Amino acid sequence: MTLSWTAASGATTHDVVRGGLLALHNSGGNFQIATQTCVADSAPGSSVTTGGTPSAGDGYWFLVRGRNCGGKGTYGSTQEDAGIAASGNDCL
Amino acid sequence: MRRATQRASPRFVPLAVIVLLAGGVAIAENIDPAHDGSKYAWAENLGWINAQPGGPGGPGVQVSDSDLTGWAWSENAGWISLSCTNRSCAGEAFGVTNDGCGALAGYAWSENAGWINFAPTPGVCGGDPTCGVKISPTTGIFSGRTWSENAGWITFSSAGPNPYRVATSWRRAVPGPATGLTVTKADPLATP
Repeated sequence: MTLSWTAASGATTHDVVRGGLLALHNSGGNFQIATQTCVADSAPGSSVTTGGTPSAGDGYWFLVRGRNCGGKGTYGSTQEDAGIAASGNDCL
Repeated sequence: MRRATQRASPRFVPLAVIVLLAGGVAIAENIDPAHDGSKYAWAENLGWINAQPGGPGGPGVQVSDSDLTGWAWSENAGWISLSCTNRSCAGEAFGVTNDGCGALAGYAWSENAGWINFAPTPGVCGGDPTCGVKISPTTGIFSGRTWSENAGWITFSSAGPNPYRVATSWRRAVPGPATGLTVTKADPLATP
C-alpha cells in the first residue's frame, strides 16, 4: 500500500508510524500500547510504500510527523507524541 | 548576496550609528538570551568583539532563519556591520546569510577591519574543521571561526582556559503537523 500526505510546513523529511486499531480501541486510546512499528524513518518526499496486512477484524492506523534540522515535529498531539515515544517503536 | 569590493566611505562614530538606528531601522538583537555573558567572540588581532553592544534591546546582532543583521562592536576595530540593510544596500550589497540550519556564509564589514568572511574557502581553512561559523539550530550556540585579511581569525566559542561564546535565542522551528494522509491499496485483481 502507498501512503501519501501533505508535507508538514518546514519539514525536510518525515517519519511514519503504524499501529493497530483494535489495540488502540481496547486500550482506550493508549498509543504506548497500540504503536507497532516505524514504517519510514526520516523519509524524503511525501509518500512511502509499505507492506503488511492486519489480522482479520483488525486494521492499521498511521501517523506522520515532519523533521528538520531543528528537530522532530508532532504526530498530532502531545498525547500521541508521548505515547508513541514510550512505546519503544517510534522512529529514531 | 555578493561580496563587494572595498571602497572608501565616510568614517562614522558610534554615536552617529546609534542615532541612525534610533531614527530608522528597527533592530531587535537576540544575543545572550540567558544573560550569562554569551556575547563575546575573540579576534587574534582585535581582541574581544561584543555581539550585543548596548546590552539587551540595543543595536546588536539579530539572527533569523535567513540572515544576520545588526552590529557588533570591537574596542580596536569599531563597529562591525553584519548586513548592508543596517544602513543602505544602495552602494554595496553585502551580508551574512543563514541557510536555515545555522550554517553561515557571506561577509560582514568593518570600517577599520575590512571584510570578514564567514565561510572561508578550503584553501584559507587549510583543513581546519572549525573553519567557518555555524549556529546550532537546537541550542543557538555559535561555533567556528571567520577570517579577515586585516583582523585575522575571529573565534566564536572556546571551552577554555578562558571560556567564551556567542549564543542567540534563535532556533530553527520544528515542522508543523503533516495533513491529508491517504492510503492507497493496490487492487490485487488489477491487470498488470
